[in-house]
Amino acid sequence: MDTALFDSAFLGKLEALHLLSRKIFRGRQHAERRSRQTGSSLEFADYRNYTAGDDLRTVDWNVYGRLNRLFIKLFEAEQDLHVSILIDGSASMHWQPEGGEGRLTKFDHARRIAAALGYIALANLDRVNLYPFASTLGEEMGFVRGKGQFHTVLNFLKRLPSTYGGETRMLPSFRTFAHRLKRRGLVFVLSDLFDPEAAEALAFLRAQQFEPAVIRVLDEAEIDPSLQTTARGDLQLLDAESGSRLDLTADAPLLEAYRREFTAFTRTLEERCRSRSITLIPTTTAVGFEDLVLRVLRESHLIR
Amino acid sequence: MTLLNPLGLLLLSLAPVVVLLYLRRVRRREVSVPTLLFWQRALGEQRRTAFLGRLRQWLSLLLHLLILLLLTLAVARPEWGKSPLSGQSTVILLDTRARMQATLPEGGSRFEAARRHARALAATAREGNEIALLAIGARPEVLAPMSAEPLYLLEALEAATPGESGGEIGEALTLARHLLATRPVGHRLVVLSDGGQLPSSEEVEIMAGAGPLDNVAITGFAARSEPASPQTAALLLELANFSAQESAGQVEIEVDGKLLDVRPFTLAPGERKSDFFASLPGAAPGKLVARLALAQGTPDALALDNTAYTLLPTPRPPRVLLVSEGNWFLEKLLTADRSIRFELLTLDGFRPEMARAFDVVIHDHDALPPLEELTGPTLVIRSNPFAGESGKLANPPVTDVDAGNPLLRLVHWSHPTLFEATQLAPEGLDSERFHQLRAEGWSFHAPIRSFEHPLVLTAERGEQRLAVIAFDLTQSDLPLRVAFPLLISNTLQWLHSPRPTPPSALRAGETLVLPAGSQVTGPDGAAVALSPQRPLLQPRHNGFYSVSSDGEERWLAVNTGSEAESDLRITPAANALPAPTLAGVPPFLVRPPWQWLTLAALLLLFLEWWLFHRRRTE
Repeated sequence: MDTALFDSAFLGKLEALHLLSRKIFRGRQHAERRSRQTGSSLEFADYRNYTAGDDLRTVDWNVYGRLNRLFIKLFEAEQDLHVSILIDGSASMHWQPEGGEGRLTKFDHARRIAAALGYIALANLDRVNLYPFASTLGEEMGFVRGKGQFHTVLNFLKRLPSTYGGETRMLPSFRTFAHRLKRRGLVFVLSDLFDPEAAEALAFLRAQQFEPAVIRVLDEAEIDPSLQTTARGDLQLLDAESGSRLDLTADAPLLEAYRREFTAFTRTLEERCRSRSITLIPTTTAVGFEDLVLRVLRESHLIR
Repeated sequence: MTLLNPLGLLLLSLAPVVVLLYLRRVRRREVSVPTLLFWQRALGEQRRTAFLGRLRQWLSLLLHLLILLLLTLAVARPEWGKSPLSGQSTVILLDTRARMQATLPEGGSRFEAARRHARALAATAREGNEIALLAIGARPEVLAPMSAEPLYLLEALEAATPGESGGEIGEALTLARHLLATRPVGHRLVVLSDGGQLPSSEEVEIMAGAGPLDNVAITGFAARSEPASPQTAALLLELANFSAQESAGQVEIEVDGKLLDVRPFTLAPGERKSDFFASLPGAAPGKLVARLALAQGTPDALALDNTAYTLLPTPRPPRVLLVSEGNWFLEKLLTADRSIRFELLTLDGFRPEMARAFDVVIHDHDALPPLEELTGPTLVIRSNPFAGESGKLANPPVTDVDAGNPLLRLVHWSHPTLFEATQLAPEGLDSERFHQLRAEGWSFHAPIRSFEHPLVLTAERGEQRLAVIAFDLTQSDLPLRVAFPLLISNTLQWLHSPRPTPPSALRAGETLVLPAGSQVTGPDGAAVALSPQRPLLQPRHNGFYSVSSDGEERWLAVNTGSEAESDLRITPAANALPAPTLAGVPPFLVRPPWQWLTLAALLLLFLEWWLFHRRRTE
């Protein structure tokens, strides 16, 4: 991962974006996020009657001039947000179709998205933490705050490829995550969701009062294996995660059956996420990174 | 059914190998996937049709074995019908002579009718019934040697075209018998011709040609220089009516594309008529074309002989050099003679080597070179070229005139007055000097003499010619007489025997040997291919051929030139051939069984490949 991937023009665009959170969280420090707690920001919230001891600077003198009564202006307090980014580092995220060497892996794509999300959050003075996971939750980066800490995010992302692998087991990983993190907040999950318990794991996060948003990163060849020219004929398939093998003859009917199964799995995931108000954004490595950040995330109302 | 190669059946022993290869498990290619989750589910869905899958495997094996069986049969070369031991060798002689271009009343030409028969026969070729194709033309030509491949024979037949030449059928028959002589049994000779001098041998089957056809033809067309005027030509045209009814029409003569004359004619049945066209101006290239335009209703089956070609003779005027100190009469005469190209030199300007550039040299002076240096045709006036003892004859009377001598052709020698003549030898032609010259190979004739002394003498040795006028023309009244130009002209013609000119007319199909490096352009304007080492021209079509060699271009007129080709009334007492039974069968269907078997095996192989790649078989 190289900061050159995010040039200054691109970062400028990101800076103008704001993370959209559907919930307002309480924060220990002021940030560019509205909370239900009134405070001393410039955003007007309400009026209340003046009581003794109130700061006279908050009295609305214009209203006093018209009504001859003292009212205090209430402002929304802007507070910081805890943004946790969970990156799937399982072996399937490192997979590439044959002949696709040199292209970005899903994991690379996920790291870029994580870097972008992290930057945006840091630019908004939110607190950002990164968690890799596969069969278990990995070592976290630790919360950082402020744009000056972006290099910490990048350095952490750089180290990830060599330390993670194995099968995807989201539910135990997310349990550990919920146990570790005391404060609730926004959770981005970057994964291919190749886990039969993926829907349960996301539901668990929602049940733990987190606001999960899932960016499902896939390779085109996973959606339609016929795009992979070598995936035809008599094959022995090797599972990149478990190492188990499967003999089959990949003909047109089998490829069609694969597509049906994949679509059915995706549809089930989408329905279960929708029923729990979990944002699920599918993307592929073929989608340009800038497009994803500036268009897909905006369309999904995560960034405004 | 007979197997021509029964050993081919041994290929069937490969069947167990096919089964063994089939039973070997296919080595599967390892492909990494991110998860087996969906593949396992998809496979589970497919295994519900496992029974069909097993059936696919058997279908594949069955196809493999069937392909092997078909290939084995193809290698064994099965044949239906006769066995090779009862085989037959047939030679088909296809007449391609000009007469075969005659149009039949029902449409099409006789050649097409003959070729239809040939096609039907060629289509029956197979192992045990081999067929060869010969063409009857100016000389027999092998169109296709003995072959059992109908397609090959049919291709050779399609390439055959009727020529415009005549020819004898005997040569072709001899060649055909030689071909058959190398075959053991079952000889068959089929002549596909309309007739004309066909043999009536039992071994020969002859196509029943069409009945007699009426035809009008130009049978002769030639031009030659007129003797009295070499610059003009006379033309002879012969017409013949080879029909049982009167024919009428007109004949048009063209010279170099311009209409020269049109003459009507009427010919009684069987009549021949000659026509003469005189005093045609000669001009190069002088391409003469005669065309018949027949009156409506006049039957004419062969259009080919309605046109004839010939060339006007274009003699090259001889170059004549006069070496003289001045002879007014002779100079005027030679200048006026349009049949020669005359040049004058004084004695000072003359060198002996100059004589080579001229056809005739006239020496009219006293300083004559020695006889050995007079190598070309030479006319010597008043001097003695024989370098013997000579003197002068005063007022010699003319005593003998040989009117039959070519020098005196049409000359009326009315005793001119001669004041003086040169005595070539004291005793005339009987002198020792002339005996000596005779011993060296010279021969002498003296058409005009004064007693024993020749006044005009011709001498020849091999191709060398020499003429002597032994008196000074200015010392006689001969130049004032009519005999003078005739004598000089005859003498020059005698001295200048024109070089043999190559032929300017040829019959179609005849062979002409051309000089090396010659290039020939045919009547259609296309170059005729010739062997560079030994160019032989064998024109197949009538018309004018341009022959270029050594920077010179000359023309050849080619005609069929055969009455036998134009007379279509002769038809043979043919042994009618059975009607062609395979005429309607497309040629590509006429194939030996092994080819069909191979084709079927290939189709099955393709089917198996397609099924395998569509994963319909495993």
